[in-house]
Formats: sequence, structure tokens, C-alpha cells
Amino acid sequence: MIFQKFEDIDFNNFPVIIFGSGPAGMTIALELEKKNISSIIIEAGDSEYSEDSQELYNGKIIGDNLIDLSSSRLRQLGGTSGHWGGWSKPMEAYNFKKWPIKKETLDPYKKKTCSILDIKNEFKKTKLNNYFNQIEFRYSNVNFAEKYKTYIKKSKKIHLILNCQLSHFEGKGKKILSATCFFENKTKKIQSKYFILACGGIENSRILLWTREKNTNLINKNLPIGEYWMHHPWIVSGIGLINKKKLKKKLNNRFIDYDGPLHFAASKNLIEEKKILSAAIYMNAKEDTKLYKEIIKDILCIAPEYGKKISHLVFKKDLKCGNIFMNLEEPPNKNNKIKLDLYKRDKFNMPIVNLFYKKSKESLLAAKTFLEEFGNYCINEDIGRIAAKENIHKLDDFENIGGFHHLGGTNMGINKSISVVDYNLKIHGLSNLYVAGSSNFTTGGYTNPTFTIIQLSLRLADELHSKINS
Amino acid sequence: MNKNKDRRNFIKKNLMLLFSLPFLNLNLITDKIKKKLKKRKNFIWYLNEQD
Repeated sequence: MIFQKFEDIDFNNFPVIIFGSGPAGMTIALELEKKNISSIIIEAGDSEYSEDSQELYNGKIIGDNLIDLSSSRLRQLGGTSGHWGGWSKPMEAYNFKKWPIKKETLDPYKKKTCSILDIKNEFKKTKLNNYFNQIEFRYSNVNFAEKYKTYIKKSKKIHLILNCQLSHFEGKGKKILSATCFFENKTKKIQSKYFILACGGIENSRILLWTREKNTNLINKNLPIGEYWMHHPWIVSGIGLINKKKLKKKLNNRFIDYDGPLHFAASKNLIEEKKILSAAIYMNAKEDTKLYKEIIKDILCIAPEYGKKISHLVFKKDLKCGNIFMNLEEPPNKNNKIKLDLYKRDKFNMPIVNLFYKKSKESLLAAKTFLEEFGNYCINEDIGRIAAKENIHKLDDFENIGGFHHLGGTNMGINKSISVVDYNLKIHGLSNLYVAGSSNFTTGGYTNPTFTIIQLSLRLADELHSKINS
Repeated sequence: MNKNKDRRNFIKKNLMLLFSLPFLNLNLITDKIKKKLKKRKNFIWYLNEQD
């Protein structure tokens, strides 16, 4: 059901209030419904995109360049799933090393996550050697607003309020008693048993920081809210050509998706032996003909013997040739953080966000090491040749061409001095305020975050179910 | 008798040499893959010396 007026709602009937209607918030509501628990989703934006709404996402980025905060996320029904690329895959087991949970904790939610994302529950992995695996992403076309708006309208257990901006929480002792919101130019206080903050990788920190400003004794002042913020760099790291036919033969026909894109990821061995962060490379399924020709020309100039060897494959589907894109991991860094702007406020009189961000040299090192080792693998197995961008090879810099994955800020952990939420995604020291979404990530990985966000949200719905029934 | 012994020793020695050849060859091949870096248009290519 979609509510137009606050007066129509009896909040006593809703044990759970969810702030944010993106993949995290909506997944929780859908799963609670299956468990016969009613919830209200409160969305700050409208059901459609609007410039005015996006303007409220303005923030200041201090340090290295990132995509503007008002364009990298969407303030509308369905949240940022309105413009996501759909890349889906569970994170690698080794990425959970610093988390208080393991990959196995989230594995039981894999099947349901695939069903929400309308993707096949199969993620093939083929070992190339000790250092690399060919991996497979699934591509989801799910836009949460499109898929679930009509469903929510008809649902008796999920209720939605649009255009309602959450400002902060209020409470006493360890308990949140109400959430203060703005709706149709009026302040509203919403009461419930459990509150879920699922407003995204920037807003989750902003709301909590503002709540701490407003209630000096409610949230532990030492919790590192907004800190250890991470990005998921997406870069063009080089160019290259891969003889797919030869590689397929070498892999005994276990080559994944011969006509699709190529994904190769670092194995646990490479990461541990070289002491680097995780990384993966990607080559498009469809080649850019101009670039293809240029690469062939380059290889004929600098490696004529090799050029001759592969000349019979040129422009055949057996030869992959193009840009090498790379997904990188960033380490959690206390100095990469979200802070409230002391001077600038939005139309709700809430401080705008200042994001302090510096690219990591460790990510750059991972990119270089990966390319070097992959280059060696290509030579030793004679399956192709690759080139790294000079600035990466020299460890000078890399250029982010994506900036849509905001991780950390309310990271999960046991130690209260370096984490904000606990094993169950509940804020340390509070009894009924939970956080959902990528802000909970303790560390990132090369994997895109949405799949893990949904797995975590399903697990949180289980936790709420057991709390409500206990 | 001595002639036979010499012949046996000769065959043994050569067989040993023959069996050790594949390993020698492998070593030679590995040594042959000398990596070299070549720069072109702001890209550093990872190449084999014989490329």
C-alpha cells in the first residue's frame, strides 16, 4: 500500500520502520512480509527521478576526484538500483577475512538473492593457474522500483510513504524511541519497535552523525561513524589481446562463456603471496573496431614475430582484443571519511556531507602486480599479450572511471573502536536501530556490492523475525 | 667379456643422457622465455624476447 497522508497510518501496527527503498530496504520489507511481519518503507524521494530531489544529495568531495555525490546515487523509489549496471556475484571467501562473518554465513541467502535479482544461481569459476581464475558475473536487469512498485501497492504487509525525509533519531538510554522526519513541510515523529536505516553508503553515515549531534548521550561518541569509507575503483588499466581458442584448449573446454565478456580474478594465492588487495580484469564482449585495429597495429610494430603468429586470428571471434578494465579493492582507511559540513545546510536544515577521500596506493600496487603476473601468464602459456598503462606500471596514479559504489562508514565488526554495527548489523550500544546496505562493509573486494547487500538484508530480516517472535 | 661390459656401459650412459634430455629441454625452454618490456603510446607491453 502507498500512503499519501501520515494521518492514515496507525504506526502501532508496524513493528519495523525501514528508511530507504533501495535494494537493501526493499529486500528487508519483502522478506519480512514472507514472515508475516508488517513494515513501513519511508523513502525521501518520489517514485520518479527529479532534479530537485537529486539536488538534496549534493555534497562536497575533498581530496581526490570522484563522481559528484548528486549523480552517483539516486534519491527516488528503488534508490540507486535505478541506474545500476546489474553486475552480480557473491564476494570471494577471502574478502571476509576482516569481517565478523564468513562467506558461509551469507551462502544460505544466495538462492533468494538470485531470485530477487532474476538471475541464474550459478557462478562458474575456472582455475587458470595458482594466481588466476576465470570467473563469471551474472547481469541483473532488475530495477527495484519497476519490479516492486505495483507489488507494494497491492501488498497488505508492506506500506510505503514517499517524499518523506528522515532527519534523525531520538531515544533514551539504549533505545531509539522515534524518528524525526519532514513530510509536506511539517515535522513528524514516527514511533516503532525497530528502526532500519537503509539510505545508502553516504546517507546512512550522515543520518547517524546528525543523530549524534542532536542527542549527545544516545550514540557512543567514540563509534567511528562515517570513517573507513571505501570506494570500489573501476579503471582502464591497459590493453591486450587474448587467444581464446588456445586458452579454451588449455582449460580443457572449461572456458566460461566463449562469446561473452572475459573476467579474470586474482586467486587467494596471488593475494597472499604478493600481499596485495583483490582485483579482477574485464574485457568487453563486443569489441571496439577502431581500438582493435590500433592494438593489432601496435603489436605488429613492437612484437612483429608474435604479430605474425596471431595474424590468422585477426577479426575472428577467437581473438579477444581491446581495453582491459579493472575492478579494484580499497583498504579501509580511517582518514577516508564522511563528515557533516559545519556551515552548509540543505532545505531541511540538515548539514550537507563532506566526503574526505584519497585514492589508495595499495589499490594501485594491486593493479600493477595483477597486470605483471597476468602478463607473465599470457607469455608462459602463449595465450596472448597485454600492456599496462604507463602510470600504473610506474605506480604513479590511476584514474577512476566509475564512482558509484560507496562502501563503509558504518562498518561491521566486534571492536567498537573500529566498527559501528555488530555481527547482527545493530548499532553498538543501541537495542533497536539497525543499518542495512553497503555502508556495513568491513572491507570491499573486486566484486560489485549489490549481491552482498541483498544477502546481508535477507539475513537482517531473519534477525528481526527472531527478535519480534522472541 | 670386457667388450660387452664396455658396450653395456656405453648404452647405459647414453640412455641416461637420453632420459635427462626432456628435463634439460624444459629448462632450456623456461630460460628462453625472457621477458621484456616495451613502451608504445603510454602503454608498457609485457613481451617475450622472441616476440
